[in-house]
Amino acid sequence: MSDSKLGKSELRRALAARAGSTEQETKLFLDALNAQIREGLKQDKQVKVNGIGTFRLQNMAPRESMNINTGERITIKGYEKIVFAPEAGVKELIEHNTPMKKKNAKQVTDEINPLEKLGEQADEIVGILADLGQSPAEEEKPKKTKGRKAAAAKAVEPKAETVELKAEKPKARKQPAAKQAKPAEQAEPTTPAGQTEPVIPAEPQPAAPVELPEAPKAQEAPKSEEKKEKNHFLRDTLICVIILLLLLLVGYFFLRSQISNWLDSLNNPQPAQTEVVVEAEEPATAVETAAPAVPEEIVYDKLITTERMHRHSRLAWMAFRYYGDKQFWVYLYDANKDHIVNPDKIVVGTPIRVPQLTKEQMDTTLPATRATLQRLLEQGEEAKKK
Amino acid sequence: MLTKDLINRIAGATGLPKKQVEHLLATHNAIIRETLMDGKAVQLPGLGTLEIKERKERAIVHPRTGERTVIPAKNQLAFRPVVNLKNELNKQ
Repeated sequence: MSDSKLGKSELRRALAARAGSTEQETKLFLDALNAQIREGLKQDKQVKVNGIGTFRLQNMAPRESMNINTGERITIKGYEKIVFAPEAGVKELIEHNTPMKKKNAKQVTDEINPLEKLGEQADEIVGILADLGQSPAEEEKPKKTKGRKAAAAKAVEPKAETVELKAEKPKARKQPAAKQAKPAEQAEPTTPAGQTEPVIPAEPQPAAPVELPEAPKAQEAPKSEEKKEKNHFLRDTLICVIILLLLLLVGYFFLRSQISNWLDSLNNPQPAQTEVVVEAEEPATAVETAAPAVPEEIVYDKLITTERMHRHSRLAWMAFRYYGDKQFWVYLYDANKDHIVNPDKIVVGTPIRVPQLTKEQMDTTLPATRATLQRLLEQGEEAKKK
Repeated sequence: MLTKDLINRIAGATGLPKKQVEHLLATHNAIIRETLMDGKAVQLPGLGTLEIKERKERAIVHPRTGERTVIPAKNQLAFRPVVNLKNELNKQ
C-alpha cells in the first residue's frame, strides 16, 4: 500500500522534515487543514487550495428512476457531489510529466498487451480509413500517372529545344507534348533559362534535367488536377451539347405535326366547343336509323364503333380519342347529323357513329380535305344556332 | 473560500503563526504534487484520495468533417472523496 499510496503518517513525516517543524505542529496543521476544508465546503461549497486545486460541491438535482425489478417509479434524492478541479498548472504537469508511470510500476509484462491492442486498433482504423478512402484513391491514381507523364514531357522538352539544331523531327514530335504542359511551363523558372541558352548546347543540357525533376514534382499534383478538371469540364459540356441537340431534334419532329395542325386551325378557325348536354332519355331505337347518302356528301362505309353520348361527353373529345385531333369532330357530326340537331346540345344516350376515316380525310395538308373540313365546319356552326 | 481564508482559519484553529501555516501549506502541496508526479496516490485524511488515472488513447470522429483523429493516452488527476464526507455534507 505504501508503494502506491502516500498515507497519512507518511505525509506527516515528510511534511515535518521538509518544513522543518515538529511532528506535533504538523499534525495540528494537517488536522486543522482537513477540518477547515470540510468546514469550508459546508459553508461556501467551495474551497480553493493554491498549489493543488479547488474542491467544490456540485448540486445534483433529484431525478426519477425505475426499480428494474418491480418497475416501480422512484425518485433518487438530490445530493451534493464533491468535485475536485486541479489547478491548470498542476493538471498540465500531471498530464505531461507522468508518462504512464503507473503502468511501469505495476507490471512490465502488462505493457505488451496494451501495445498489441493499440496496434490492432490502429490496423482497424487504417482498414476503415482505407474503405472510406478507396474511391478517392482510385480517382487519384490516373491523376498521378498523368502528372508523371506531364513531368516526363517537361523533362524531355528542354532537351528538345537544345537538340533543335541537330534534328527537326524529334522537336516536331515533342512540341505538342510541351504544349500540353503549357500552364506548368509558365510557372517554371527553369524552362525559360533553357530557351535562352540553346546556343550553348553543352551547358544547359546537364543543368536542366537535374533541376527539373525537383521543381516540377512539387507543382505536379495541382497541375495535373487542373488538367483533369479541364478535361472533365470539356467532356461535360460536350455531353450537354449533344443531349441538347438530341432533345431539340426530338422536339422538332414531335412538334412539327402539332405545329402544322395548329397553323391549319389558325387558317380555318374552329370555335370552342361548348356543348351543353341536356339530360333526357332517348329511345334506343334511334341507333338503327340509317345515314343519309346525299350524293355530294361523304359516305362513311366503315364504322369503328357506335358510342352512346353520355354526360360530359363532347364530339371534339371523341374526335380526339379516335382520330387524334379535335378538329375532326366535324366528321362525327356529319356522320350523325341525321339525328343530331345541334352539335352543342346532344341528348344523353344518343348513339354516335364513329366512322373510319381515310388517310386523305385526315390529311390536313391536302387542299381538298381542308375544303371539306371547312364546309362541314360551316354546316356544324349553322346547326349550332338551331 | 480562498486560500487566504483557509490559512487564516487554520491559524486561528491551531494557534500557529500565520507565516508558519502558510509555509506548511505550501510544503504540503509541494509534497502532494511530487508524490502525484511519481504516480502515487495521496490520501487526504477525512477528505479523500487524490490519484492519477490513466486515460486510454481513443479515436474520435469530428462530427462535421468526419475527420478521424486519435487522442493520445494521458494521465489525469482524479479525486475520490471519502464516503463519510459525502454523507456528512448531505445530512443537512
